[in-house]
Amino acid sequence: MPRAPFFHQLRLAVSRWLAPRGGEAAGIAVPELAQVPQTPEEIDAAAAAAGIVIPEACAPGVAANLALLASHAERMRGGGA
Amino acid sequence: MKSVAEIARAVRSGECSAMQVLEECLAGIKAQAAPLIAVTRLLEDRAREEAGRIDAMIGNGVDPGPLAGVPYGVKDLFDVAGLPTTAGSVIYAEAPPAAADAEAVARLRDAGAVLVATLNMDEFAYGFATINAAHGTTRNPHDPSRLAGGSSGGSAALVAAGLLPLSLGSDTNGSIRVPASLTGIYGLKPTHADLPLAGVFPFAESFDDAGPFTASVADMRLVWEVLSGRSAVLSGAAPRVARLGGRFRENADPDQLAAIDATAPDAPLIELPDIARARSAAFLITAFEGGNLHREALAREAMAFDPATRDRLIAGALLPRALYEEAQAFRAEYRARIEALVADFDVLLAPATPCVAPLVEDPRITIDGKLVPARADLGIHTQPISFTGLPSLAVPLYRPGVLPLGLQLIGRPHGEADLFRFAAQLEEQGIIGSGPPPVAV
Repeated sequence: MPRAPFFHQLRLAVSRWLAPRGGEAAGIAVPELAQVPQTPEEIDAAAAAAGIVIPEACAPGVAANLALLASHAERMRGGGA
Repeated sequence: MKSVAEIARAVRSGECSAMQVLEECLAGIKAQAAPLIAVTRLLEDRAREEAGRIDAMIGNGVDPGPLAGVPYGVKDLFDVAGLPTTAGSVIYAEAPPAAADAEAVARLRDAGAVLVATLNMDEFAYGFATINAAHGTTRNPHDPSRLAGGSSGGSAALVAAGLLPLSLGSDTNGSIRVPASLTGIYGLKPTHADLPLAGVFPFAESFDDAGPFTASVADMRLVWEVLSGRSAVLSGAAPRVARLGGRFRENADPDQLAAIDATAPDAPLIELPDIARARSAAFLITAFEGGNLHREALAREAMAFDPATRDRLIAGALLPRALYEEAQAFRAEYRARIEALVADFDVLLAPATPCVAPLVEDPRITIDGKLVPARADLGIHTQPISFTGLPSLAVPLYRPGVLPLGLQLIGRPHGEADLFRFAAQLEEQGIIGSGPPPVAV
């Protein structure tokens, strides 16, 4: 995971601090940053949740666009994508 | 085609009738517009009714308004009473007709303007190219083998060709400024949400704006005053100008940089921080909002979408909401940072597009030494400005006989009047200005 710049890290730290307490103490992991679905399984699950059946002809294009969006998510977080 | 101001003056004074102006305009469009693939619907009946009403007002001694008899067109996503609003998609070709005009259309109508046509666009405004599977690819009047840019390409092409003096477009990440730059005319992205959006088919509401295309600064100012309902009060003080450096100077045409440096040689060079991060966050917000707007239709009939937008919209609909909220949080913090950084300036100078219009046959451009799709990347310099919500006026470098290129004059929030004043100075100096297309359409 690339190191997020200061303001972004600060915001995430604040939101975690404001979240209901007890999770870490109870052994519950702090939620990870949201990720763009990229594997076929992740894409299928996200499509099912959205109520969309991805046409076969669209599958490669959707996967390519999600990969591009994943690179944008990484760059937004300060990564070098 | 005369200017907006000239037509309105002639009609108001009785020098010519609105109907004469309209018939001349319709004849020009019928004779010359077809190769541009810019018009989706010619609204002859409505236009004649509006022109007749203007002439009747003149006959009765009533002033029809500051845009009396001015013909104009709108991007295919503005509501026009009695017509389906298609947003460039066959999915809405048979939609119920709009009950009323979009608010921007109503304001132009009430000022005396005459709506003549609806104009081509990328489906749902998702692209910088105006490559539309249903209507075709809009051509650049300066070279029909090249793109006009998008997504408001039809609106830009008709003004650049001299077939309309005014048109309306929408700009989410650069969809007015990109085609304005590539076709050599003026295009305004206002302060975010400052011009009326009621009755405009949305794309990504966080960034959507409506704005005009014209062939001069004076016309732009006049139309902005009508649309905003305000006067562009020009202060006497010299504008405080800065040049945007960093990313904005890395992918730019040498002529753009030379013009910026010649225009304001002593202006400070300032760098907006985290431009690449901002553009990526804009991509994510746009994809999420666009995808979710069309989620139900994608679930119902994905294959009816334009192949050029379908996969992008589906991908956007699959993004997790938490990522979207993260991007929005970054945006809020970023906007505050940028507004503080540029608070001491009235005008920021930057390129509008990284290059001249790409070829229709090979719609790619070079960014950072790599060939990338023009459809997604022509907005490299406009998208970060949309992210800030600041107003930005695209102005054409005056270079007749050469493919057009534009600059952005970026202002403070609600600082449009400063942009008009500075642009007028550049126009007087001959640095910017619209030239006629060198290639007959």
